[in-house]
Amino acid sequence: MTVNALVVFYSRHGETERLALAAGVGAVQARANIRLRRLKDLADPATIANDPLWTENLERMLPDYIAPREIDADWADVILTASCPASPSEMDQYLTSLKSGVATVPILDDPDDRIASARAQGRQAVEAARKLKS
Amino acid sequence: MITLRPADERGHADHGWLNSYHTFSFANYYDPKHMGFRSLRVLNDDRVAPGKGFGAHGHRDMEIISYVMEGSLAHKDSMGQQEVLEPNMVQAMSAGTGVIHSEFNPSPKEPVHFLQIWIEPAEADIEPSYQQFAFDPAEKKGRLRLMAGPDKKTADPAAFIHQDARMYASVLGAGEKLEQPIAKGRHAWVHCAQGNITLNGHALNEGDGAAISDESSLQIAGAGPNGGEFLVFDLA
Repeated sequence: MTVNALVVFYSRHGETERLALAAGVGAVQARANIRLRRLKDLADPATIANDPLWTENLERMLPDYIAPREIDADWADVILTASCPASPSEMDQYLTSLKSGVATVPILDDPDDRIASARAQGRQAVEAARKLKS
Repeated sequence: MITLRPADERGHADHGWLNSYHTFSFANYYDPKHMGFRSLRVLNDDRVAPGKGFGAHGHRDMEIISYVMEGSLAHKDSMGQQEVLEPNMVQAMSAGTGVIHSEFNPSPKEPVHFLQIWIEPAEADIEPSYQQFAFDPAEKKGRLRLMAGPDKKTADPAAFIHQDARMYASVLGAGEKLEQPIAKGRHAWVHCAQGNITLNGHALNEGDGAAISDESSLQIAGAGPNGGEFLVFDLA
């Protein structure tokens, strides 16, 4: 049975994006349909403009990821989330806004092996969602 | 037997930023009579507006080839590849166990016109990989130039794909001809990418395709006024 996995993340310098991408690859490995979405910045434009790395990564990320829409959460069987440790409020606000009762699974950052661990977490979340669905 | 697939009978999706014609069923275009031919599963004729593109999304177990006709295409993927593809370059990605990628038109002014081809791999769960190579456009003039195939060693650079299938590109001027034998039991697909050609006497114009089975050879000629560019798939 096909599982729809929505990966929602908030990243400024690209580190949390890497985690989210790895979780997304894990979800694809587990044969899920995936959508990747980046949460909008809550910071004001001047703050972003003062951080060259943030500005540079934002330019790169904006075309690649739209922000999550309500229909994405409706579509999803499971939502994998990756929150920015420096600014958890974007994710907190998103989780509070969710209307549907869809399961959310936070992707934990394992400093020893972030990519392999995030991939495994993505796979496991999809496999768990598949079991629930069947 | 030659079965024509006229351009105007293909699926069509115009999203504004993307104008795509689907030779076979794809996304919201679903026709059970056109689900692919042999291992050739998708042949999309895509035009993407300047600065627009396909955001990050995932694939599994598919050999994905891009052939740029005009403009350029910026590629990024979860394997860490970041490349720009231009005419006379071919990109091939083996999705295997799973990849995430995005494809964008990096130009602020020019649209990109490219063909997106999916071939089903012979086996599932292969290690994902990415390949890209450039070729001299003279190499496709008047002959079939191999672009992708299962051969580990090729005379000219070509993409390796995990399937008993070969993709060739060619450009023939008006009146110029070539003949390609088809081994017994093999099949072929011909796609006219631009201009005009004839295939065993049938006229093919831009976007037209043809499925070929139980024939001993392909006889292709460039037609008027300027000949044409086309792809040939040799399929099991």
